[in-house]
Amino acid sequence: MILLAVGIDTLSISRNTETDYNLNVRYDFSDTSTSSGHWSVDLKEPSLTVTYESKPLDYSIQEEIENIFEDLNIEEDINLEQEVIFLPEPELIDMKAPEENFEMVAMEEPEFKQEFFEEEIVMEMKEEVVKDNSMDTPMFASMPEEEIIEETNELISSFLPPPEEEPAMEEEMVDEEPTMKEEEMIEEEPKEMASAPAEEREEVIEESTTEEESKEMAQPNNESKEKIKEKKSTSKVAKKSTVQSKKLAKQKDIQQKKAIRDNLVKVMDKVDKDIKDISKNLQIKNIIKLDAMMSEQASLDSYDIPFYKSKDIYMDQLQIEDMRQLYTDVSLNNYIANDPVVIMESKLRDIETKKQLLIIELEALKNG
Amino acid sequence: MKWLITFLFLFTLVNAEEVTTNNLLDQNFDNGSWSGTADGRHGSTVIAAENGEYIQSDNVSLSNDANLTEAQIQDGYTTTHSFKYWHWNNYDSTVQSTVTITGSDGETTTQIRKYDSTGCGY
Repeated sequence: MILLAVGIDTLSISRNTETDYNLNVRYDFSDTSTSSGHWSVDLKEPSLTVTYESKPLDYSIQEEIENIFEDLNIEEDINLEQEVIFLPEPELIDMKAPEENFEMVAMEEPEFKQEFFEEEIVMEMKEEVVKDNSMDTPMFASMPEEEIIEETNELISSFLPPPEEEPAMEEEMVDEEPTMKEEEMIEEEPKEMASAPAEEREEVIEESTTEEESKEMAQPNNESKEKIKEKKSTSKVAKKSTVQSKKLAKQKDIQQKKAIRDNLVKVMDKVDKDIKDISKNLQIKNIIKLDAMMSEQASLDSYDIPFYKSKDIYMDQLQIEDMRQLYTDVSLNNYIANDPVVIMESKLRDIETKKQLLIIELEALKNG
Repeated sequence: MKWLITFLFLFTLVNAEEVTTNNLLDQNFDNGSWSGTADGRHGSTVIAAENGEYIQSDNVSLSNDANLTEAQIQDGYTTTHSFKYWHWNNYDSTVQSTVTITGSDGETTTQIRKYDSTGCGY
């Protein structure tokens, strides 16, 4: 019994920006026969059609419509947010996620942990007091999240020192706000240094003194002992300078970390003062802390070094493979193709398939 | 303004019309628009396939061969692919169809279907 079957499949391509598409179809045949010859299916009438919209909307109009719908949704969202503010329970759920993150970072630096826990305790205490008055603080109550993020970024940028090496980000910043931001940052840096705690000042003084000492040490040595120890003095100075530069780099790192911690405390205090709505307050604090944690992440680049350097020690190998082909004109396929039994079988098969095709056509004609 | 655009949107929706192209594949497998190792035929329109063989159509361009405009292409479309096949012997047999759509930027979308046929006792 031979069954005629139809294979159908459809494929949809959504809205896109391509200028053209190329389509093609491929059929792969396989069967369980181990012998060669036509044992796979017969196939006919391949068809590929494309259904499309004859008068599509212009892209700009579509965008305009999407914007309208977005505007409508935004208005709805704002109303929803205002209603949600009255509910206290979801705020408590939001409290837990940032705490977990904190503990992970706090494991690395215990001092940092203490500071943050103190802040959390303060935040919890304040929450109980402020919860009842949350309606009376309209400053950030109806603010969407994007504005909160912008606000926090401004706060962070006003307190944290500028990043050392971030060329791409700097370019973006320059595009958005060409001169004002940079000027502000430059003006604030020396003030922060002046208002730094006594420990930092000492370190700064130490740095400057060591630099001066190195210069002073270098100068008299060069003047008095130039003739006697020229070679030794140059090598010692080079070693000293490398050691000093390492120390300076370490000191800078420590100073930067301390400055960031101090600034974080200041930022948190300012947030507590300015933003009395507890939910917004927590959101902003979370964002600030996450930023701080992200900026202090340890780099794993130093571990990405190959353990062994590969070295090819067997360069000159002998060619022991014999590339000569002994039976170029003889193959199993050639033999089978010329075998009279196989030829007869294939002819019989062709006749049979033609017979079956005719039967199918006759049945089709009978059925109308 | 918003109402005008919404009205235009609804107006174009009402006026929109779906069009289906003719068959974009050649029915004659020996006409030069098909290539591959499946060279057995019953006439020129029926493939008599063997194990491990394949046949593949040439690329069909939506803009050149189907005459779609860029706007029509970018609005999205649906392809419908079909073929007829029959199995006639005691072995199990499989035909796998693959429709490949390649965008002008080289991005490729592929749909693969397998059609298995068990031995029919002949």
